[in-house]
Amino acid sequence: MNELIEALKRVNPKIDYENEKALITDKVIDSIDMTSILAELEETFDIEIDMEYIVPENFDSVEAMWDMIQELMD
Amino acid sequence: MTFVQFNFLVFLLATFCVFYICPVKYRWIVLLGASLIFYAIAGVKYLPFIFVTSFSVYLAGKRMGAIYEEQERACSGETLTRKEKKELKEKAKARCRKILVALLVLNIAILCVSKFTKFFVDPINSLLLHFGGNGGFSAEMIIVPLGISYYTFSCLSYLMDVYWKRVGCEKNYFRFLLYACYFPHILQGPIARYGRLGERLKAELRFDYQRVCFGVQLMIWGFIKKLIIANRVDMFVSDMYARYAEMRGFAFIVAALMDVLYIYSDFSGCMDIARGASQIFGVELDLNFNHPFSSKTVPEFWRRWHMSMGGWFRDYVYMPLSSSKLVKNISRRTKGKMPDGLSRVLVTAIPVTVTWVLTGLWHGTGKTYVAWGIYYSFMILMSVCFGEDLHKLAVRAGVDTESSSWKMFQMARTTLIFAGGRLLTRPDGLWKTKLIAKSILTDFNPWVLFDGTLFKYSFTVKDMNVIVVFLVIFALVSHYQQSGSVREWIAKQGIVFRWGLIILAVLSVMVLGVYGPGYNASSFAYMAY
Repeated sequence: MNELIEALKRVNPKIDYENEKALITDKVIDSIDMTSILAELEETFDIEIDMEYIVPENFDSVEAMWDMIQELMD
Repeated sequence: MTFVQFNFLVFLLATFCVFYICPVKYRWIVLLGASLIFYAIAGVKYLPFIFVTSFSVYLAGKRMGAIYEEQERACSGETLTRKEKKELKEKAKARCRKILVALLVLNIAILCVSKFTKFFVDPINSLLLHFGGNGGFSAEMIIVPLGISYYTFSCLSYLMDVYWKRVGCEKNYFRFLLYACYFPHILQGPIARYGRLGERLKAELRFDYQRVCFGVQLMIWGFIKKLIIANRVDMFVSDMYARYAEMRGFAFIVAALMDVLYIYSDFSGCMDIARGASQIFGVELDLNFNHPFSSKTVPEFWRRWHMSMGGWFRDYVYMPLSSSKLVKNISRRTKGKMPDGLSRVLVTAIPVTVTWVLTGLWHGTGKTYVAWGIYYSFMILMSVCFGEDLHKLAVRAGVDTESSSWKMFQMARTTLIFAGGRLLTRPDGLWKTKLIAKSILTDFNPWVLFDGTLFKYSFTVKDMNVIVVFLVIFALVSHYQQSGSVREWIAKQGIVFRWGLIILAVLSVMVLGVYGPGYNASSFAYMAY
């Protein structure tokens, strides 16, 4: 999980990823941040994030992103 | 039939009566019937288009759903290895992709032919003459179905959502047909998503007195925006741009700002009427405007203005491009080799530019709309690139960036950028835009604001007073909406106040609404799309 938070901090260090639970729904992350986040996560965890995974539920919190990454790494 | 015609109110009242007389489980059928009648009134010739395209989309969705179900059944057995399951999944996806691509091509081709053929009439006629034809082709020969852009986008989003497994496929064709051609949203949107509107149309649609009242109030608010403000301002702006040769400097600035007021009151007024009409039947349509002029940046503005269109392009153009191999490769290659900010701009530039040029082309064809797309791409990239630096610079200069005055400056800046975008498309061509821009930058004549010059352009003192009064009302309502619901506040007041307010609003529309010469009931700005 720390590795994920570090990757996200590299994209936008101002966001409180640990405590925000509605990153997309509350528009804390915008679509331009998402472009960088996708590239960062794919590179850090060596995964491919398909469009079917790019939904608010998978990116609203660090926990949700972590679950998605685990599923993709399986 | 448009929302501001008396016939529409009669149609709505008749649908309302039949809808609530019918048992709850058949009410969706009443809405379907009403939507088809609404479409048929625009022209029976459009109905085959609706039936054929919606049925093909429905069949494609059903087929993709069946393929995925088959794959999930095959994967549910424990005998398969993880690798085999993955292969099955990929195979199913490849089969669905073929269906998706075929339907996307078909629907986009129909949309392009109906929207863009008028621009190719002369080349087509030359070609026909060359091959011995009579060269009698005209744009009128192409059937342009009512609300085709909104209808097509609603269908395309459904197809892509089924393909990406964001929604399940619809098994009942008539339910899908209702989603696609539901009459309150077919004219000008908001562009529907099956995951929301499709589900809302399946809910039990029961009578709720307060919701019906809220719907009627929202419609009246929409009529005020459209008939009192938009139509009045439109005549003024049209006249100014038509007589551009007589104008200079500040007069053009007034025209550009009034045009912003026009497009907002026209389009958001139409959305209020659509959402209010739908609310009467218990079906919530998505919000399309959320106080856009309170935006501090251009990206924020487009998250608040025409939200259903912005959301559509974000989800179905921008995000697929952002997650494409090309963009990912650029990101990998530039990372660490150049400053983070520059790498971010390069990664963002391709999807932003493509998305905004396509958004421009959705609004219309020709150089003006491509220029419009490039203009917004540039503004958004500037915001990404220098937004942070500008903020730091302001802090260093001792500006309190949390102060109201700084926020007002940001909002004014965003509004001016939007007015600049309108200047690209509202006049009749880029040549006129260039002439206007030159005059704005070089002619300093603020006295035109006070010497009566503006009243030469289909604009009277009465018009100005009406606009000022309603702008104050707009501002008050908008301010109150940020913290609560105006309609809920009205509902808490006494019966005399409530009905007095509604009667006053209706009388205002009847007395102050602009229906006279120069006004065309069918000219909602966004109906053209």
